[in-house]
Amino acid sequence: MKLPVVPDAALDDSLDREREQVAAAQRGDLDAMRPIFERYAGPLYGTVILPRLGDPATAEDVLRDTFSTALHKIHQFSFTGRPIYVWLRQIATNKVYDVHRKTKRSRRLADALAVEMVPHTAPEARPDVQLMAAEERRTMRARIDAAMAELPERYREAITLRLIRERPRDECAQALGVKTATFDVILFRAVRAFRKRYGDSSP
Amino acid sequence: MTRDDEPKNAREAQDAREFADLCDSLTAGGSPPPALAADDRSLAETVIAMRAIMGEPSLPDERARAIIDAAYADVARGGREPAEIPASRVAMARAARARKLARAGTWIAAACAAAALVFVLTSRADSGGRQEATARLPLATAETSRRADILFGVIPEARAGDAGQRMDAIYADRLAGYRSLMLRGGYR
Repeated sequence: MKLPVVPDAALDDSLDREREQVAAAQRGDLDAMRPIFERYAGPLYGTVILPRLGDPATAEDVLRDTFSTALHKIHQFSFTGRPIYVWLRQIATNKVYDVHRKTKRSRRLADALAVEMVPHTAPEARPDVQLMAAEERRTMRARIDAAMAELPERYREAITLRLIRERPRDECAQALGVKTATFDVILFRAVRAFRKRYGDSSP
Repeated sequence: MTRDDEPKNAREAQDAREFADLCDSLTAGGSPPPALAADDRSLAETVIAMRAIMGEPSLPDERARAIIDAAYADVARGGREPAEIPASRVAMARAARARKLARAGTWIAAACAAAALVFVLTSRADSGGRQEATARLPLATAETSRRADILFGVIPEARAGDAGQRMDAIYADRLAGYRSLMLRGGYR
């Protein structure tokens, strides 16, 4: 997902088009929302839903529910000079929170998400979806960095090598000076420790 | 290797090995298997979430379109949105329910009328059936028991789902025959 800076003129065109599509949908032509959904499906899935759920199948279900809800409630939406992405993101975040609450997978993470549900972009902010997504990604990365910083050095190294740089297990083991089976134990403990701290972190 | 890196017991060693296999699958782009213990699933989700944030997960266009189509299908079916159904849809649902009740009421009335007719005929047959048999007038087709085919002919496949309309038509036809018969004074 590349994040080009969108020129103001192109941004205005895009917003005008979006406004027309939403107006058509509000008049009853729900199919007018389809280009909007196609445009925002990727950012919603990759930036908003999947990072908060961690399960691709559930994330797809939540994306589908997000669009269903948007179609049901499109008559309630009103433009405030920002892309409809902000509204869709809010619906998606609510759905993610519901999943966490229903499954009770992580109360701490659910509580953190509840705080996140307050829109983080100021009304006067430049309404560029790519920049919003980038900002959101930066916020979440900062949260991961904060959780990683609390881990012992060996755990941090194990996670970075295996899960972020995707080095093979035996290579990771060699880098840490242990057998592969021992590296498996280190990684296992490292992810458990990370999960505890990540859930504890405030957004 | 430090002593701290050693597994505490065989169980932890096995869990670690299974988790490592799961990570192999996830880093290769796979999804967690449907059947996973709650703790394993939670760990897998942590890994996927972390990788989603640190990397750039993408949703293939084809997949996105399928999800969008499914959302539209949900709305067309009128489901998948548990809260705040628009008032217009509530009104439509109420109207549909009222139509259904009205239709059921009509059928009940027809059944009562048919039962009354049978009762009248039976009681007349008991009281003087032999004399009446000779007094009966010939009945018009509309007043006799008959197949409904003449009303519709061959039903095209495209109209196969319109059974409700056909039932209404049959009922109206039968009611017309019954009224005609009764207005003429019934079986004489």
